[in-house]
Amino acid sequence: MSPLLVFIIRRLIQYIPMILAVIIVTFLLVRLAPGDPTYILVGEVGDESFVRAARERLGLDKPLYEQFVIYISNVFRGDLGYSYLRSEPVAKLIVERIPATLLLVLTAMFISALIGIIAGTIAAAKKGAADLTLSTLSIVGISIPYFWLGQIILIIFAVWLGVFPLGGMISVGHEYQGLQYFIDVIYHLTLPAMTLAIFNIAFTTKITRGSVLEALTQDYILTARAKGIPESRVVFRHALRNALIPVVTYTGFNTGVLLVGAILTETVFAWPGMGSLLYDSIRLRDYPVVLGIFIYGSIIVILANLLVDILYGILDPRIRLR
Amino acid sequence: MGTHPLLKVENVKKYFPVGRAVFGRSKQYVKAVDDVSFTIDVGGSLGIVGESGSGKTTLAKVILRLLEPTSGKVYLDGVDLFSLNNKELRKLRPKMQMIFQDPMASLNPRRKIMHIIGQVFKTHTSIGDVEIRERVVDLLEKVGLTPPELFLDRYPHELSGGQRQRVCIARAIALNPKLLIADEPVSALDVSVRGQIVKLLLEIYEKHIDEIAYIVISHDIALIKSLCKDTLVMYLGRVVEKGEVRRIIEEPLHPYSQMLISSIPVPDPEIARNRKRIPIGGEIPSLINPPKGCYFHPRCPYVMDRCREKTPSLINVDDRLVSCYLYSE
Amino acid sequence: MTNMNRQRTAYAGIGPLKIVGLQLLYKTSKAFKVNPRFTAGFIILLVVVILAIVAPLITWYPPLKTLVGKPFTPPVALHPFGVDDLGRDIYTNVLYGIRTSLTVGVSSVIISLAIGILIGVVAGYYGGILEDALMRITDMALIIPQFLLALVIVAIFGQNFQNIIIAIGIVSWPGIARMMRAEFLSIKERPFIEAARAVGLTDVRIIFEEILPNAIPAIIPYAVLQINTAILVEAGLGFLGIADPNVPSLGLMLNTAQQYLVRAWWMAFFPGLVLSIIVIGLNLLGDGLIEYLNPRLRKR
Repeated sequence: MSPLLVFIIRRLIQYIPMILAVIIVTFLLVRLAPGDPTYILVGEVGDESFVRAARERLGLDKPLYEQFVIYISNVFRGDLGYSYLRSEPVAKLIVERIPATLLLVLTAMFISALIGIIAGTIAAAKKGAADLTLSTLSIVGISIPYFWLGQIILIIFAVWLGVFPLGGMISVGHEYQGLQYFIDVIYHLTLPAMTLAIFNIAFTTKITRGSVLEALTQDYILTARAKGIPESRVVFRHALRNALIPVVTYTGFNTGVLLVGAILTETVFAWPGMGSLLYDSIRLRDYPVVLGIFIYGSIIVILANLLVDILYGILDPRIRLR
Repeated sequence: MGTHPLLKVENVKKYFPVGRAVFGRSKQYVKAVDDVSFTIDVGGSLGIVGESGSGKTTLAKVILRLLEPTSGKVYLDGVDLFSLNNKELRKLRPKMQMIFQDPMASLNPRRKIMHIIGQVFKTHTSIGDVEIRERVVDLLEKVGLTPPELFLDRYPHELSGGQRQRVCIARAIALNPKLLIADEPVSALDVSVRGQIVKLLLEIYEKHIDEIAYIVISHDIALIKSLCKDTLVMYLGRVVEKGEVRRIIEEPLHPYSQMLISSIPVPDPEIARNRKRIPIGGEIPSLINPPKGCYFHPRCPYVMDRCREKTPSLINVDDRLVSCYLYSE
Repeated sequence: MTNMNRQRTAYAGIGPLKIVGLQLLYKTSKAFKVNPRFTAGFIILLVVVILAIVAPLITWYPPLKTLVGKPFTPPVALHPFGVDDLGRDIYTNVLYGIRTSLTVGVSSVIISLAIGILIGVVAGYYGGILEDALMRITDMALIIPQFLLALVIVAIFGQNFQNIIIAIGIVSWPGIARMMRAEFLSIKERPFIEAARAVGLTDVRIIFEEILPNAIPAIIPYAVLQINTAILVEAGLGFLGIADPNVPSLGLMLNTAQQYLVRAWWMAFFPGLVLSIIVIGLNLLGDGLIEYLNPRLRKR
């Protein structure tokens, strides 16, 4: 077997149990919770006979281990339960929302990577005042709760200035097609993506700065300078190129934080992704959906980490040996 | 002087595995201590001398089971130390104490002297806080930290090197040990205070001569001479010579001993000029792949063919034991 | 005593240095001089804590009381931060909300410190299979989105104040456990631990009296930043509507404000602003501490 394949398999063996662990944790939480777990798995619907039927179907009157087997096999078949409040399977509700969330997360990731990498490189190269300003700004950027930042952005740009829509993903009442549809989505995407990006820019700036500073101490930089290459070229072409791998990896490993960020940001802008679904489900006490989002969210984050880990191994062969 | 053996060390070995175990390939070992045996009587004092890397400290730590042995037996006052479980061992620890190389590093930087010494009593006795304090004060006085009250609430970093070593000694003798091992007791100290610490160690030894046995570990045979009657000379984990310190210094038999002795500076230039000097040649060979036969042969000026073949065993020559083919037949 | 010794004693006698607490204070005062960020963070936090303590003295309505003003009144002298949809005074609730944030932050970090230290200590001190197993679990717990887990726990177990604190506490231990283990692994190898084993101290004494006092300083700045995370998680949960309705919460206020963004900007603006200030203060303080304690970073 090639070393790369061995490496990938090892990583898979490492990550797959995590998904199982998430499912076990969910199962245990529901069973440990005070009161009848049926209400959590079904939702607070009044009808008594309905609850009894559901209890039987989920095997809740059987011993715990049998319940667990039923639960696990259901989850692995993609059955996360049924939202009786919405009369739809939980899995379907969530899967419908994933593309919108991914669009928001990836856009924000792209914008923040672009700006963060440039700002971080400048901070590392310039030192002194520019560095201090940027790193102080990045502390402020990390600190401000982005859901509040989103609210303020919404108030300023949508309520007061009226240049962007108040929320949603498409303009209601227009049946836009093709390019027009695309532009409409971008128009709605701008504010939420900006909010999420601002939060992430601070993070990317911080990582880039550290990474470039590290790279600038290497011998090949000295060589480049000795050859008389202009300083800006040394920094951007030579140092940055080598500093990028950690930046990309950290960004990938940060998916979890960004996903949670997206969930909160969506709530502000009524962006129709997993976050809005979660927000509505909490209000309606639609627990099966809340649990489903936890499981799906965790799986997305675990897979993103796995992907980055494997990519890292491909980019940097030294990692594979560990 | 008592005559029954207080400490009996039999064929003690300590091998450290090197690197990871890879399938199909046998592990490699560093033989830090390789088949060492000796006994010490009550009132006895034994030096262990050798260059750094000769396994002296490892040997001491294995005897005290601060490191787990690979094989061998150690009896302290008839008790088989290597057969004790952790709890029994812990109970016995105050009876076998060690003074470590670096007094600064061997004292907890965040604890006061009172706590450092007092916790020994707290762990092993049931006496109350007031009495513990008295005992600690007594001990500090005994090791020459006077007035003791001044030191109780100090942190280690507030003391001088010599004072710290005195604290370590106080901690070691707190519960009247039967075996006291001093590992390079003065090498981390300023030259000016070394004499005082040596004097203190001798004082303690003489005061407890009816119940205690001493081991002193050092690279410096002159120090050993001032503290001990007998000595082992160790080279790469093996004993090459054993006998009275005085005799070994006067007339070293093993070529390695001769080399060690010739490196001692002599105050009298007259004697120095007449002394036979053996230059220290070569490097200490790697412990992972030690040379075949006598480990010393690559550096030995008298090397013979069979030295490269087989390790010489320890044999009686005159008044001591030596492991060298120069003296067999 | 020799002359030299007397001199050393004189240095050692610089009174305050003798006591660890005061020593820390002394170090802290040195940190002020060299680290403006730390100073800024410290001052911000001091003001915030004082405000939280004297909240009853500087407000003139009971917290959470409805209809103390006309709903949706914009900021005026009597209601400096305005009035919300139910006629509650926002200024009052923001000040009491600071109390909630700080309480949640500190209490949940105490919980996560207890769990994290326990797990890190066991893993770092005993090693072996136990360590492997514990660190596997820790790695998993680090990847699972902690916010979502806390949300699920509170949603299922009931939305009250204790549950929120406990949930945040039990999801945020992994970082502390990792750090603690690393500290233990390195301190365990230091000679004074071998010396402690040589005098026959019990494992419990070695862990708590010998290693822990040396390991704690390293996690202090981390704990400060962790308070921050806990405060943000509490606010985020509140913003999604997971909160104890009987306790004033900055996050829950933002949740209410969300429905009235078009109509009443002040409902969102003031609670969020105060929340941001708390978090900025703690971040500056934590970063400053890390920078101060790490001489390699300080030099630059």
